[in-house]
Amino acid sequence: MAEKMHFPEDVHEKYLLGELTDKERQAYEDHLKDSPERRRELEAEKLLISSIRAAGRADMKDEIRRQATQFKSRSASDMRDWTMIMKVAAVLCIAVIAPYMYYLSQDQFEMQNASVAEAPTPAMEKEAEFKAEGDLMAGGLADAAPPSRQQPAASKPAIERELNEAVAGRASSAEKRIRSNARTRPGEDRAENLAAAPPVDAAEPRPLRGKTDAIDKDLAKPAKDGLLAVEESAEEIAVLGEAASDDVSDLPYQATGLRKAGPSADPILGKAKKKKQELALESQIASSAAEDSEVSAGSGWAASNLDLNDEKTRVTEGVSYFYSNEQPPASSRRRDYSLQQNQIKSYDERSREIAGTLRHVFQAGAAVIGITFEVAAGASKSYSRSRKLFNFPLQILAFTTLRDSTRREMRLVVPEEFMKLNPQNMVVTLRGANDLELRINEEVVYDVNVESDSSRAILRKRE
Amino acid sequence: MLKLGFFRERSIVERIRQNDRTVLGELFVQNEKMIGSYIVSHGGNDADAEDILQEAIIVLWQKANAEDFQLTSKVSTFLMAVAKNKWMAEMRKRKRWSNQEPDVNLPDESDSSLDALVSNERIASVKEALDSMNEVCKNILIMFYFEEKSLDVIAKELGFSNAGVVKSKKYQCKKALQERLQKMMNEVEREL
Repeated sequence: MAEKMHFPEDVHEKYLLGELTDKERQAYEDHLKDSPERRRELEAEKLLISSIRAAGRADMKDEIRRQATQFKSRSASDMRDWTMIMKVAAVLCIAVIAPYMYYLSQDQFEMQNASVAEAPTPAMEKEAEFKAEGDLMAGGLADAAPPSRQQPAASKPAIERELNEAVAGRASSAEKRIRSNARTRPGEDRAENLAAAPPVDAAEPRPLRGKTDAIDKDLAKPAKDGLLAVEESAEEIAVLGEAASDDVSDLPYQATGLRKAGPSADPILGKAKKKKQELALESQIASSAAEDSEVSAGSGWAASNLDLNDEKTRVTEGVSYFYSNEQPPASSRRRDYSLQQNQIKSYDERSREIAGTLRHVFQAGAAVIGITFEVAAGASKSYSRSRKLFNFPLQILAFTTLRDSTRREMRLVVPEEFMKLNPQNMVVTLRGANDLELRINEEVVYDVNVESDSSRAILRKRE
Repeated sequence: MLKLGFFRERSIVERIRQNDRTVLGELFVQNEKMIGSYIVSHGGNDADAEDILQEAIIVLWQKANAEDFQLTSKVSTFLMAVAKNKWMAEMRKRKRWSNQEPDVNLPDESDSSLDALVSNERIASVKEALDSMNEVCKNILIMFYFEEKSLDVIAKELGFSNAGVVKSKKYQCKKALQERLQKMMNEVEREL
């Protein structure tokens, strides 16, 4: 009994679970040998623990089986759900979204097609420019050519060929042809053309925006524009005259240089002399032709911007006008020029206003407004705004259209002094009612004072 | 991919240690095909495969709760090894039984069969008694004796303040279970 009391009550459990030390276990086993009652207790404890373990094991097996069944059924139901969702999505996509997307894409496709169809392609633009230029040059050539060669259908390809040559940098041949025509042009032809041409007053205004059909029509009726053609011919002749004069004036300097170069330069000097004589002859012919022209240039200002040799400035097209700085006769009327894609609508001789599109007005100072003209397809601003700024009769003689990769610009070209500067990039800054600043090529700056009667402008080069 | 698998294996052991019992079903489903094919290919059937896999999962559960346990292989490898050993033991047992000559004239009163019957009956009784007890007592007894968790772990998992409280509570529950079993045995004897 004393030994029994020695062991704690949970000794059976500790023995079965292996929680006794070796000494305790040995003592306990010795005690079991002498006590059958303790052995029964131990056996009962062992059965209980093993039963609990077995029950726990069975319980856990049931739980595993239940969870596995749930897991499988859940996976199956998940798959079923996803299958259902995918089916619904497929039906939606096929029945609703796909037709809608198709509809949208069709709509967008049509819009793109429309915009593409409306937008002129570079080839169209070039063709139109050639045609527009050809229209003007055809008039001149038609005047210059003998009556037998004044068939528009026959002259148009020749003009285009000339223009192609000019664009490719072979303008010299075109100029030679023009000079040749000018030399061979009999005075009777000019008189005949003038007689055949209808009076300017009777000429109907043509569509403002040039189209190829209109240009073709114009080409088919050169006589209708006879007066204009004669004017332009005279202008070109004057330009040639000036060019020839310049060349002649340059030759002495070149010759001086060659003389200094010594005997080796003799052949070159001989050629230069010969060329000088030719150019002097051409200059005389051109001057006489200009003087003979029915439409006189008045002061003789030649505003030519057809600088075909200047590839640096990329002048690909140009229109020359020849106007007087004197007030035009009261009988003159508004004349419309149709320049393909240029958005230049008209030029009024009386008011000397060019209807174009003012693209940029900027504040250059406290009382300084800068103006640049840009002519772009689809321009929305009208000239009326710029007319307010140009409320004095600035002698706008001509304009050029330059084209780069993104835009067209219209640049003002003013008196003949400027033409020698070849103004390709001019910004007109209005500083006061009669004061202007002209900045050319971003280098040369002129202060312009327009006289109160607007008859002329005084230009001073700023040092 | 290898790292992902490694973390997944680690997370299973951690989940077992955190008494996340939902891992049981996952382990069964994940390894059912592999172990099932092994058991079936080695003379077993689907029920054997299920039982062996459950036994292997239980072993993993018990081992993972031990403090010094470290899983050095994949869980599936561990389960496969346990299942192989279990199935080989089961095959040896079956072979031993099948080698004994059955005597058709006498009822089968061998010790093993009788013991098995008594054991099964006793287990069923204990399970019934455990199910009739409250949830805390049942959990304490199963966690301590079957899952072999320490008193500290049981105290933490069941929300007791310390191991001493669990120890006294375990003592009370065991006494209550013994009383219930005694009561059940008395009822059976009365019926007989």
